[in-house]
Amino acid sequence: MSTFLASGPNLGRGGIAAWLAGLSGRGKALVLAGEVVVMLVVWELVVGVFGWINPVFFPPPSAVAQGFVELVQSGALAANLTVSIQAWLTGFAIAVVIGIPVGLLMGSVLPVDRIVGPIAWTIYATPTIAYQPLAKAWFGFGIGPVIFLVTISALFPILLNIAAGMRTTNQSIINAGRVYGANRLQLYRSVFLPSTVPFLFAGLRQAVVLATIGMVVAELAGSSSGMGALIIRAANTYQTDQAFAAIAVVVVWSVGMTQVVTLIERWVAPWTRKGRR
Amino acid sequence: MTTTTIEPAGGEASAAPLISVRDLTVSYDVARTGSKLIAIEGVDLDVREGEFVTVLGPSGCGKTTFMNVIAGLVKPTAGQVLVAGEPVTGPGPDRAVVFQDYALLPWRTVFDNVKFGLEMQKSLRGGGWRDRVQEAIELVGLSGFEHSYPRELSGGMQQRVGLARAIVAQPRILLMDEPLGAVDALTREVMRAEIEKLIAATGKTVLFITHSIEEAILLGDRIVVFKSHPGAIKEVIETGLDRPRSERSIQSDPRFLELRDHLWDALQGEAAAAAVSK
Repeated sequence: MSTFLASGPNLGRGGIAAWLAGLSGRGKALVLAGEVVVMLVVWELVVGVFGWINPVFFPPPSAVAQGFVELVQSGALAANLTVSIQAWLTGFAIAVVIGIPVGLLMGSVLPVDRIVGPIAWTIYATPTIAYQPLAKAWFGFGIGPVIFLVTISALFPILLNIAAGMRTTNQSIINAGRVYGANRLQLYRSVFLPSTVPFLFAGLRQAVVLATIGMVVAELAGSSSGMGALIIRAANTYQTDQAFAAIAVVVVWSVGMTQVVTLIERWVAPWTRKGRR
Repeated sequence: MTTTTIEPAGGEASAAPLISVRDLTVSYDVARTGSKLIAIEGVDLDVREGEFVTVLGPSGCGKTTFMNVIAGLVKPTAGQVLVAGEPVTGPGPDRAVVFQDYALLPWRTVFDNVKFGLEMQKSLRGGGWRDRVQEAIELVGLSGFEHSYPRELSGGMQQRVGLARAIVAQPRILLMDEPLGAVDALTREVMRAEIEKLIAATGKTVLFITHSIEEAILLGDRIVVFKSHPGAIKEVIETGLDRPRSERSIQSDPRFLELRDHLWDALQGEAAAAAVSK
């Protein structure tokens, strides 16, 4: 047992750890798929076959799939998803348009950092849900409050990551730029901006997840449409299978958009591709 | 500062020095304590055109600060540095730096890293620059890696890129800040010989910072020994060894052994002093 306790993170010398580390990309995907299948089967057995848990509270995968089909056939999914994606994309775009320039400014001009920084951190530290009732008061009951919550959730991870990226630009590389005669503009364009790119994408990935949370939170109360409204309506009428199906769609959106960000990063910044893990 | 010169002195009269350092002092304000930290104090040094000078000293003796002043990256607190008779007020195309940590741009390929200097100096007009970049890459033995990113290269190969980037800018003076300090021992020996050959071929004036005694002797026409607390020149020694210096034959050269023993004693005293003052 003592060897167990002594081993640190990933210090396993062989066995499963070595096998996992040596897998190809395809192998890793297969392992993940296997894990998902095992979980779904156990879930199905526990709820659907043995009935150990009341399926109304925790519908089995087969029921969730059925709920998904119902949502598609009734057109409820398409209608609500369209509204949500519209609000999400609008809010995210606003966050990017504000976040990138303000973040760059914070990272390069100290007074701006000192003034905007504390405000940004304060808003970022406030739970999104606290803004929800205010958003309704400010923007009514349409798509407005949803866009607002998406924007405010996505803005700060983008802004603060960019500012941090600018500030942490490698001093040696800055010196190299100066030695070879770069003026301020050249330094900015050829050194500071490219070295901030990985931080931008790290911020965007966080922003995708937080924006989705903001979107659902905004739609959960007082909205007549959107994925959040769909979830709460289904749950309130004990159609938990449909609620689960709607949640699954939101998760797929969130994970999918993170992947989209990663794909864009590989295309825009091929040098950041990390070693295999 | 004591300037003890052991044989041979080699005091032939020559033209005005290319680099002239006069009573140079650099100190920093330490914000936390409100006191001043003296990095280097009262440094005087003349470097002739085409000379290879190695700067040897323990870590923290201010030798990097010394080089940064010549590069134009750090302003002197007192005294001045003249290059070709002109006071240094900032970086210039007559000086290029090879950095200890390579300082390559990770988002640029080898080719684009080597062209970086030319690009910043706005020397990309006309078609000739492509050939110059390619030539420099071949000179450091990196043909075939033009489109690799730095992270795909070993430390030694990354430093070859740093070297090519410096050479292609065609400076008169090459400032090298422990360029082989982060490279493994075997690669270091190979690259040391290559650097010697390269410099001999181009005839550049070099200031080479190192904390390796062997490296300082093998490469230098003159060795400047630094002491710490505060950083200052302890002594300047002419090596007086013939070139080219093959590593094998020189290891048994009595002059090499004499220099090594002398420098070893000098540095050991410094290292002990540094340890006590901490």
